[in-house]
Amino acid sequence: MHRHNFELIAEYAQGSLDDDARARSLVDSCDRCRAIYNEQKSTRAILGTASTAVLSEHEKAELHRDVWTELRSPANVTKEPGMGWWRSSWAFGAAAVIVIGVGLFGVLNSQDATVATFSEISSGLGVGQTNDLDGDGASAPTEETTSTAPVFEFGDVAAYETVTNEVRSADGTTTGYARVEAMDEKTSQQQECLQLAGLDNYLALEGFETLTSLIVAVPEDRFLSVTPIVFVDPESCTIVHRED
Amino acid sequence: MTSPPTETELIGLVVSGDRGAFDEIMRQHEDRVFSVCLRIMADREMALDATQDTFLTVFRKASQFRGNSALGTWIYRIAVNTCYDHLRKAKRRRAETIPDNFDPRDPSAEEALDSAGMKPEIQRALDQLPQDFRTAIVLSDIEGMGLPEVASVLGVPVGTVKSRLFRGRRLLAQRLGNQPTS
Repeated sequence: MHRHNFELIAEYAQGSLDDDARARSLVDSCDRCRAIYNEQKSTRAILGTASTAVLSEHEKAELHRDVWTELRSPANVTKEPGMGWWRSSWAFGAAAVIVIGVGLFGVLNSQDATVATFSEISSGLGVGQTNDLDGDGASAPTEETTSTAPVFEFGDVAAYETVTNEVRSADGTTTGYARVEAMDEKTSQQQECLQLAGLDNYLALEGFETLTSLIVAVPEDRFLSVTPIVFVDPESCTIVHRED
Repeated sequence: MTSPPTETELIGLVVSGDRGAFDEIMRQHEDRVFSVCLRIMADREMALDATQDTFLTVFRKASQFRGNSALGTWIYRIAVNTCYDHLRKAKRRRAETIPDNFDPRDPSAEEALDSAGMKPEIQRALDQLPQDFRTAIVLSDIEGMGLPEVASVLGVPVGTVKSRLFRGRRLLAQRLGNQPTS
């Protein structure tokens, strides 16, 4: 029986196959395959008529000016990339992971297990719609804040949370630095990575970008006081650390 | 005569505080970052804002660049995520402020896109695609990136990119009236 391998045909239409003999054979032997091939090829041709958009010289000048104006503003002085030298240090990286783990666990363990599940707590943030994991991804936290106090200081170097929200239990007693992000495209990519790591029912926590490039994930619908925390490398999609 | 610095050398110079190096990185990538943002967002002003925010993020996270991919790939990944963030915020703003009978299609925006090298009907059809499909098509079929680079930019396996491209092109063909006859 003939198998319609349409993705192979799409690759053939794209011209990205090293050996296109099998794809060519499919297209030659099947009307449906040939129609799909022609459709993919003609759609690519139409798209190929669009040229790369370019900035005008005026827009380029404005872009450079605005970027430097923003980077020189007082709020950004401590965010010079030079501050990040310690991030490349393995030792500091490990320490950062531990700090996050301990910090988050400090937050989580202070929860009363009878108080709230992860979902309940996220809805208690005033970001209830951010927990709409089956939604269309349009929802987002209703409130975003930027920390004014550094998370770390080392000499004249300081690291800030780019986005922080309080994690608050239903009784409003517990705070932390994590936030539950909407199921947007970025989160969607992280969720795919978590699935590759075998963490199907885990959620990626946002808000740790300045501390670690790892994905920080916790299971859905578990009491925060007993939930494990997993750190996943976003490039290899492998678990690098787990706190049970 | 000295050869120009490599990408790794350039990013190292940025981390050490060399502003000229960052200007050079911007010069090398600003057009393509803007182009990707314009195709994804279909709005020149929003694309300009996203381009600016992309480079602010590149500067602030320069020390986190590990060299596992090309610098451009890393920058376009930041650009795509920045565009998504801007679109999400814009959608939220629209939901809060726009009346039900508002027509979002702005003729001047279409003119701007036309002058940027894409026919409005193609951009409209592209706009109607699911975001994941649209971005894959923009990177592959418009910007000409190879499958591995698209996968790296999007942070998904190559197989996922293939699937998104195939399905995205099929939807696009339907919307453009370019469907297979048999």
